[in-house]
Amino acid sequence: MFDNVNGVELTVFAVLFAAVSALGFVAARWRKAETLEHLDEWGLGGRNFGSWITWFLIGGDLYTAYTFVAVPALVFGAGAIGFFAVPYTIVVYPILFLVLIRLWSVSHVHGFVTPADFVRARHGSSTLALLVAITGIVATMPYIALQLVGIEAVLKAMGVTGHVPIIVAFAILAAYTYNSGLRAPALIAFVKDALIYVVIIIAIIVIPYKLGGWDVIFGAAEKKFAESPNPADGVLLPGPAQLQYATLALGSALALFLYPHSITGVLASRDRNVIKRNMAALPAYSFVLGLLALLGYMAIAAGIKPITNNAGKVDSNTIVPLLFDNMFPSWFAGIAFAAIGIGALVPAAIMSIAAANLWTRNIYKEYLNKDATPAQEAKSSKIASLVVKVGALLAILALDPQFSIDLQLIGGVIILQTLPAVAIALFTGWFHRWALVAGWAAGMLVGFLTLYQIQQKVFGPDGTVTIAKQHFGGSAFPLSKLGFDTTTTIYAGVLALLANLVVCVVGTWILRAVKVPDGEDTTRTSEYFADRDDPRVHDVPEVVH
Amino acid sequence: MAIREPADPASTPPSTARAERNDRSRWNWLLILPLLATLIPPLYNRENPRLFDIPFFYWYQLAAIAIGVSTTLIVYRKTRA
Repeated sequence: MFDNVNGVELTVFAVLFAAVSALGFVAARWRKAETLEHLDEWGLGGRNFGSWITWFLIGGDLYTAYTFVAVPALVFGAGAIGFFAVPYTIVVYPILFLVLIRLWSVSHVHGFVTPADFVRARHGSSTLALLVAITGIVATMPYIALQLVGIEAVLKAMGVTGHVPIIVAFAILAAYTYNSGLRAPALIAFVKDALIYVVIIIAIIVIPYKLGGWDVIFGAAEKKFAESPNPADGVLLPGPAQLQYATLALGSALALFLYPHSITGVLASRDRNVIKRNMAALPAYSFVLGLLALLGYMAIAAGIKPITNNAGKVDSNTIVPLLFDNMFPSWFAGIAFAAIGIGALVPAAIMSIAAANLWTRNIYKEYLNKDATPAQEAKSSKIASLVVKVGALLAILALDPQFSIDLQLIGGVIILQTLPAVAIALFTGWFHRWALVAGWAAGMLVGFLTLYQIQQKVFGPDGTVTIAKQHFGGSAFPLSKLGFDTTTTIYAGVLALLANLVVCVVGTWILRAVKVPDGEDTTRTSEYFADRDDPRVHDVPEVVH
Repeated sequence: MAIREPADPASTPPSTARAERNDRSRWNWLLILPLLATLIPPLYNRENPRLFDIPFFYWYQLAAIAIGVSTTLIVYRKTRA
């Protein structure tokens, strides 16, 4: 398990890891509440986070360890297309600026904890709420599992093998999340981001200097892609990939805030201004992500060879850790590895809390224990957060990690199918509840069918093309499969969303025409504008039975 | 679950009325700018001019982050509660 381990790296890593774990436990006493036995406290940190905490919390939530490892790996392997992460995180904030403040207001009037709570009240449909809740849980689980892939990549680069270290790391994470709730990742996010910023700023200055400048770095990348027979790679986007690039950026942006864990971060903020201010300040992370993506090219120029796993498959996720290992003294590499490792803990904690809240509010309380007290709700969420994490751990250890990567790809497409019921519904109550259910089903169907048909091809140096994966080989769907005479590809999620929207609109017309009764909308227009000093807004909901 | 309602709609506090006006402000249209700047790849999918030896494709998109930040900041300041 510890053969060929770099002792200095591992020591620095372990010390930092232990320090933030201690912080996670202490967090229960930070901004102390009267009780943690309430979902608004355990699951939303008291709904009272100001601008700074929210910035660190949402930033720590969205820019995950997996992002830090996988985006440069994609740039390393395919070039320009991997840079989609930058336009994606540019467009997400202007799009959400007006959406999230409305969600905040109506949620704070009604005491909603999850997006499915809102769906239930807006459309008067518990079926739709259940679908949204299940979609959220299913989409989030593989995302948690992928955080483990991030930690694993770092451990591999340090020479640590075997499953025990991952199990220990996740057990610690599970324990302090159980103990402190959302306060733990909020506090740890400060450390995580400080480490990430320091590491990236130093890396982006030192590595190009050592390699001989950006000219050399991009030169090496151009040479690699010129020699590669794959028509889809390159330092610039090949023509047919441009639509894929734009739709992938847009689709990912729309999906991002439908994930329950990002909504958790938003609902935990204090007022509307905190959200607006954050939409302006969060792109600071986009800049870091852009610089990180360029590490992929630096790895090419530095001649990094990704580690091959026991099954003989190349694990390109190891290139960033290997680059740090190669370029920096052991103590600094140790800090960089800790930054990535801790970067996995924050989102994993928030995601498990969000999935647990969905379980508690929309399944447990709705179907299993209608009269649950706030303390019972908190207890149910705490236990569910443990179950979710064990599930993620098993998914990585017992199954091929590739399975989680495929699932996460599907997860982005399926979470997008809740857009009409959650995001568009914040602006209009026009859609019929059963049309939304039908649209959701249509989107799911199209999403699966398109992803299923996408193959992953491997281009041999002698010009041969082999199919590495028959199905779920990526998210770029060739429009030629729809009968268009073109090599252009499009992001499968956007295609599925279009089908969804068409069915929602047409379905609403038909259902109104045949006079199928609408659901009762228990929200009022003015509630979508309520701010902190509106008497209807309360931090902790007073539920009157 | 019953929710507390104000006694009558007229008691909606001024802050809520202000928020409603702000949410309908024309300044919000500015938010389209960063979308146009980044979601049309033919605008920037080129190598030259380079900046510090970095191809246009990359430095343009990094610079576009500033467009996103400044438009969002302007809209925030113009529509702040």
